[in-house]
Order: sequence, then C-alpha cells, then structure tokens
Amino acid sequence: MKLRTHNFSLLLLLSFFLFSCKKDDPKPINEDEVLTTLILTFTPFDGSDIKNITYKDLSPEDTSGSVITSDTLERNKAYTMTVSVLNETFTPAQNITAEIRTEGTEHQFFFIQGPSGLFSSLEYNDKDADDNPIGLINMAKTSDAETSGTIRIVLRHELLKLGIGVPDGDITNAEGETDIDVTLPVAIK
Amino acid sequence: MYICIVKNRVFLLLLYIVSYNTVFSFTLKGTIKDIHDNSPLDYAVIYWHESSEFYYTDSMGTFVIPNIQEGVNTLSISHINCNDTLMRILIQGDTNMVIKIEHHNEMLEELVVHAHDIRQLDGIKTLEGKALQSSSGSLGNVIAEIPGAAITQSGPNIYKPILHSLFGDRILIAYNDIALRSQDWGAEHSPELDITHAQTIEVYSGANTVQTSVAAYGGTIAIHDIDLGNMNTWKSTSQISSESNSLLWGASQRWQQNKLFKKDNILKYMVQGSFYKNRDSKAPYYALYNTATQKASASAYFVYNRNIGDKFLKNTVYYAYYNNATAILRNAHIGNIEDLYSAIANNIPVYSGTNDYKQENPRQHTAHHNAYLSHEFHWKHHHQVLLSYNFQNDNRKEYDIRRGNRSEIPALDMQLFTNEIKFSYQLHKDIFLVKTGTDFLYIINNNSEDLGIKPLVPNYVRRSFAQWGFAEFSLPKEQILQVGYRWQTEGYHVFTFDKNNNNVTLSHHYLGASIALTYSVEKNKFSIFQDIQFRRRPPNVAELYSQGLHHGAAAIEYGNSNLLPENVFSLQQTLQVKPCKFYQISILPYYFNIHNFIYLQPRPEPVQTIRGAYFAYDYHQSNVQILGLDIMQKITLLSNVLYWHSNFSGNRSFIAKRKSFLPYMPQTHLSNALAFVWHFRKNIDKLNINLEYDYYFEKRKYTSSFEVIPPPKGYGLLNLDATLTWRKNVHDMSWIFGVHNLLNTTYRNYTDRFRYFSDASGINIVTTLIYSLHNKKS
Repeated sequence: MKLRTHNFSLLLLLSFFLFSCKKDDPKPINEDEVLTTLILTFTPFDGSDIKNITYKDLSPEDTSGSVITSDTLERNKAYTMTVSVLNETFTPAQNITAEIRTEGTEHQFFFIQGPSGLFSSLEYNDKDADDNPIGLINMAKTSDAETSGTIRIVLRHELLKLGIGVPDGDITNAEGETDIDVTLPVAIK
Repeated sequence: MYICIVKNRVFLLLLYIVSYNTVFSFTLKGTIKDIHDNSPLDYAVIYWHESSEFYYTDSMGTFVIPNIQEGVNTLSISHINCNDTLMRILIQGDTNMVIKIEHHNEMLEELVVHAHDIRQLDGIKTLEGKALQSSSGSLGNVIAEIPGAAITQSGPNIYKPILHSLFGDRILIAYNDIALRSQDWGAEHSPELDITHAQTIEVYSGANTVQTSVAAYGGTIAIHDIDLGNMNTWKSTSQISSESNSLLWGASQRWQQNKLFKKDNILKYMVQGSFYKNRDSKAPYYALYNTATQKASASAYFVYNRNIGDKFLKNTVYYAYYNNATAILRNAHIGNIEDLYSAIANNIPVYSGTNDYKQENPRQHTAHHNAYLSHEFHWKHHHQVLLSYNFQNDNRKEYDIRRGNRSEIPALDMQLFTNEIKFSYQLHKDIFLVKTGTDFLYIINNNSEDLGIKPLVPNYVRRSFAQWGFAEFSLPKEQILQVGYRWQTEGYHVFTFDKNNNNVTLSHHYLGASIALTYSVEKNKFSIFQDIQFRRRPPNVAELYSQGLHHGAAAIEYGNSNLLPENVFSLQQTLQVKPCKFYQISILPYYFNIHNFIYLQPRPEPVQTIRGAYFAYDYHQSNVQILGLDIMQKITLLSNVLYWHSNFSGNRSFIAKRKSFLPYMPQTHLSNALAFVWHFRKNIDKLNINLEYDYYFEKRKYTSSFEVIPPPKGYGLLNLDATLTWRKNVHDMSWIFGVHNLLNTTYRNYTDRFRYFSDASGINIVTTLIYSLHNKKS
C-alpha cells in the first residue's frame, strides 16, 4: 500500500513536469493597432498641384520622435482635404483609413486651427451611416492673405457624435478617447 | 471573526502529578484547554498511537485513558480549528495533565483574522463582533480590515494587498501553504482565490518566512480554507450572500468528511465550490459603468494518513480552480494625457449609467489552476520529511476597446506555468526544532501570438533553486528564538525582439538571500516580539523587461535591464501590554532600509506620440526608508459585553537621496469601534454588534512630481455589522448583516488607481447566511 501510493504520486509528479515544460520560440509581433502616419492631402478644385502635409513616427513607443513634412498651400484657394492614416510597421503599409470609414459612427476627426483664419472655411464633406460627419473628406478654403500657423488634428473614438457643436466640428463636448492628436505646421503663400 | 496576536507555536504545558505504583498500567487524566484563555475544549479527539484507540473530551474538556502503559506514549490531539498536535509523554504513574493547544503552530508573530472561529480567544480582539466573512469571496475587503494592511485597487473589483507599505512580489500570498505565483504580473492582477470558506487569514513576518521566498520581505498573507474536522465526522456548509450596492448574489457549498478505516488509516477530504455575480457598483451619485463581475471557484482536497507503529505517513492531493471575469470601469479607459485630465475634470463621469450584469470592453478574464501533491513521512516522533510538487497555470486575458472588429481579440493573453518541487526535513525535539529544505522552481511565461499588440511582459523562462534552513529554540521563561536563512539563485531567459523584429534571448542571473532572527518572550502582562532581517531581492521580469504601452491608461512603461538586486534591512517589533483586565495595547513599529529599491518614476516630460502625449515611467533604483507604526488598543467597558477597539496605522516612506516621498503608500488610518456581545441560551448562541468609524487622513506628505493629481481629501466611513450565531444539536447557523458606508459618504481612496475617474462605492447592505450540518455535536 505504501509503495503504491509512493509510485502513484511520483508518476503524477513527473507527468505534470514533462507536460508543462514545452517552450515555443516567440514569433515577432506587428502591432496592428499602431498608427504611424497621418497624411493630409490637399487637392485643389482647379486641377493644379496636389499638396501634402505628413506626420510619420515609425516607433511610437520610444522617444525617437517623428518626421513632419509640409508643402506650402496657395492662398485663397479651395481644396478637398482628405485624411489618410497608415500603419507602416507592416510591409506593405496597412491603410487604416478604410477601417475608420467602416466604423464611421464611432469616429470623428476634429481640426483646430492656430490661429483661426488659416482657412477661411473648413467643413466636413462626408457622412457616416447615421448621416453624421467623420472628417476623412473635407472642404478647405485657404485664407486670402499669406500666413502661417498650425492645424491640430484630433481623431476621437467612441465619442458623443451628437454632443452640442460636435457635428459642426467643435471638440468641446465630444468626450470619447483620443486615437490621434498631432499638430502640424501650415504655410500659406 | 477576531484579529488577535498569537504566539508562535504549540506550547504543551505538561503538569505531571506523579504517584508511583507497582503496576505497569496507569490512568491518564487530562484536560485540554485553549492556550489563550484557558477555556476547556470539548469534543477534542485524543488518539493513543500505541493502542490505536480514540478518546474524546467531555464538555469540561477532560478525558480519561484508563489503561495507559508505563513508559513513553504518543498521543495525537485534534480539535476543530486546531492543527493536529502530536505529543509524547513519559508515563511513570497515574497522571493528571493539562494540555494547552494553539490554533496555529510555527507562526511566530502572526496577525490572525479568524473568519469562522466562534470560540472565545483572548489576545487582541480588535474586530470583536465584526463579521469578516466575505460576502463576495473577495480577499480585498477583508485585508482592508486588518490593522496595518491595506489594498491598492484598480476600481471596485481589482485589488492587491499592501503590507508594511509594500506590495507586488514583495508580499507573498499563500493559499493553503501554496505561494500564488502570478503576483508579479502588475497592479491590475488580483490574487486568484476565493475566501468564502477561509478558516484563517494570517498576516505574519518572522524568521520562518525563509521557507518560502527571498523577495517577500513585506510579509506573508496566509489563507487557509482547509478544515478537515474531527475523527469520523462529516460536515456540510452552505452559504448564500447578497450585497445591495452592486446587486451581488452568490452561493457556495462545501462538503467535508473525516473517515477512519482499517484501524489506523484516516481519509480526510473536502470539496467545495462557489459562484458570485454582480452588476455595476454604485457611487453615491452615479453608477460605476462597466464594473460587473462574475466568478466561480472549485477545489478538492484529500489527505490520507496512515500509522505504522511509530511511523506516520501523510499523502495530500489538492486541486483548485478559479475563474474570474471582471469588467473594467469604462471611464478609466482613456486615449492620452489630455483625455486623462478631462476625465479628472469631470465631476460626474461621462459613462454613469448602469450596464446591468453585462460586461463590455475593457474587461479582464483570469483563470487559475493549482494542483498540489505532497508526501509527508514522520518517524520516531521527531523526524519528518516532506516532498511536494506544485503546478500552477495562470491565464490572463484583457479585452480592450479596439478598432476594426478586434474587440473580441484580447489585447493581452498571458499564460504562466509554474512547477515547484520542495523537499524538506524537520527534526523536532523537546526544546528545539530544526528544518532545512531545497526548492526548485521552474516558471514559463508565454504570450499568445497574433494578438496584434506587443505584450507588456515578454516571454521568459525562470529557473530558481533555493536552499534554506530554520531553527527554533524554546528558551526558559517563555522565550523563543528563531533563526533562518535562505539563498536562492535566479536564472532568467527572456525571449523578446529588437527594433528590427529579430529574436533576442537575454539571460540574467541573480543571487537572492535572506537571513532572519526572531526573538519573542511572553509574560503575563506583556509580550515582546522582535524580528531582524537582511534580504537581497533580485528584480523580477516586469521590472527588467516590461515594455511599451498600457493601452487605455495613457502610460508607457520602460523596463530597465540594468537593475541590481535590492538589499533590505528590516526591523519589526511587537510590544503587547496588558496592565489590567480591562485594557490591552499592541504597538507594532517597523523600519525598512532598502538599498536599490526598485520603483516606477514618471519622466518629467510626457512622451509625444501620434495619439498625443503619454506619461512615461521608468524603473529607477534608489535608497529608500520606510518607517511605520501600527497600534491596536482594546478597552473592556463591560466585561464580556461591551468593548472599545481602536486601530491606528501610519507610515512615512522616503527616497533618501532625492528627499522625496514614495508614491502609492497608504494614507494614515484611524478606526474606532464599539463592539457589543450578547451571549444567550447558556452561552451557546451569540449576537455581536459592531459599530465602527474609519477615518482615512488626507495624505499631506507626498512629492508632486510623482502624482498625476494631488492625493484626495480625508474621509470617514461609518460601518455597522451584526452577527447572530445559533446552534442546535447538529445544526449551526450564522446570519451576518452589515451596512457599510452607512452615511453614503462620497470619497476617493488614495491607493485606488481609479480615483482619478470616479468616486468609490457608496452604501452597501450586506447579508450572508451560513448553515452547517454535522453528524455530531461540535
């Protein structure tokens, strides 16, 4: 009896140990929710050159910082301003724009000018499934005078799309969580 | 239901009244008493090994063995809520002896919360009349009741205990003597246990802690829920409970049996299970949206004892499963620092409705398997070897608010496999006990792949080997000296990636060590306990290699692979004075001097990312001093009827070089309670009423660069608890009723990490009904 219990325990003990000892080599992980790149594309109504303002940070977790490039916009000109968001940790780069459009009812971009008047008008020109703006496509008209400043682009997730002023682009009552918050330089000549 | 300071180990006071006779067979008369108050213990079982016979004590605690042989005899004594005690006595004639037994042995200086004990204990009953029975099976709210202990929380359901101002793996949580190994997984990880049926919760430090760990210099919280009862008995215990605040309901059932067969084989076993479910908790002015939880647990424990002459064999098999799904407060999920500050600025959280019993993202799901096998062999009454194996598997999944239909893919999915083999030898002679052992620990941490998010803690393998020794000497005049040492090698292989996603294997080796010396003396009117420890605690994997973003917390944490082990010197003291029958006081000062203390420090400048600004935290090391004081006082206003209890705890924790205060250290706490006890029906039934006012002082000593916002204001909570215990024949009933936060006070607790986002829970009416059925009167 004594021997039998001894053996039984030992067997169990060994089996547990062997069973739980396997070790796999880890596979590299590509962060599929990281956003690395934001591109504002300004397409003029008159068919002239397309301008881009770009923010890129390929390793958002470290402190290496970001690269910003900015074309100069022409004054007093009407543009279609489209927003594209990429995840360039993947090759080829993942385009997140479509994802934001699909989940349009949960997302909205806000554009905050500093100083106001860089754009004489800046309006949403797209709609989600509930007929509320998303902000991926917008109408922008540059100011009459030469000027420079910044535009802050904020993407909110799970926000209150019907908050006071929110459909008109006022972030004050939007709540939700920030997915993107970058400030880019704008020069108008 | 009491907290008391108990002395170290079983004291057997043998009073021999010897009268010589010419015959070889004598009569042994004995009385078994509680060591604390000398109250007789009825229905204790005395097993006489030499003849394999059983005897029971009567209602006066006395037993008689009529034909005991001359010479050395061996007796085993067991009683409800006591560990079985093995003793040898020399019989030289008719003997009359008094045996005093203790509830727990070999624990020097323990702070014990007796969750079920309904007998009177002397010592400090700071919580007299207060039912500590947890109505939700959660350890958190019970720990918070222990003077000098506190909890760090992430909302109402996720907590970690704090002892001596320390938490994480600096504290050991042992569940039925098995160390829970998932506790270096960060602050958002509650201990995986259900304490519904806990018999005792002990908080202790001292030289005997060398048996388990070098890292846990903050102390040990030991939870026992194994109660195997007396010889040839069975017991069924059912509990149902409810809480009004979160509309919690729960039920649990336990079955235990203790069966003797084939003369001297004993099988003891216990099976139990519990289930709890609650919806969103409520602060006084709003609901805490998305804080529903659901948990289930089950465990089984089997012990098989066998006596062969003077040999004694004990085999144990234990298995426990725990499963917990917790929703995480929706308001605590934020995108960046600006969101954090706007969440702080909102007096009423944006999400303030109730989500019923539903759990939305963010949420957490943990599962824990714990299996244990042990072989214990005693021979010649002095020697004992123990071989044990423990397997644990922890799984934690976290579901976040994610884009692109990824919400059902966890953002974190970790598996921790623990294998531990322990071997120890113990020699116990009259005045000394020597123990030595070796432990092998093999741990694997694996992250699921294809989650699309980098893990917080990388994959790793940890191998640890430890050798320890412990000795205890009982000196004259109730003095006890304990010494212990432990050294431990730690080897880590960490599998992670460099910037270009290439596999990198990093190895680290450390040596950990602890030396401890404990002295205690107990006199009628005072007792002193003194503990000195030197420890070397190696850094853990999270501290070395934690990486990246805490999604939803606006924090980036950077591990530091250059960390050195912490060197700790600690001094702990307990002074218990009982100048008269009506007054007693315990004073427990402690001091830790920690060289290279590892802590998270925020960078002065937040990190800018495409999501906006984030707090960045680095692991730093510095010399730290922790000074603390816990005081417990009991005044008897009316003997056996009315008591006044006061508890105080406070601490100061400095980073010496920077002249700054460590964050997350609990605030000063003072509680005063009036306890009323009414015994009726010949002292069988009892009613306890406890009215308590808990005051938490505002934390004024802090360093603002460590805090996101200043610590919250001080607050007081009024709690009322009543317990009715009723017993008839084979039936035992307890009814526990409590109103916590009776005045529905709005408050935020400093050690709650979610205090930025919402108030803590408001008024809560708690009801628990426990019914036990025995096959014998107990």
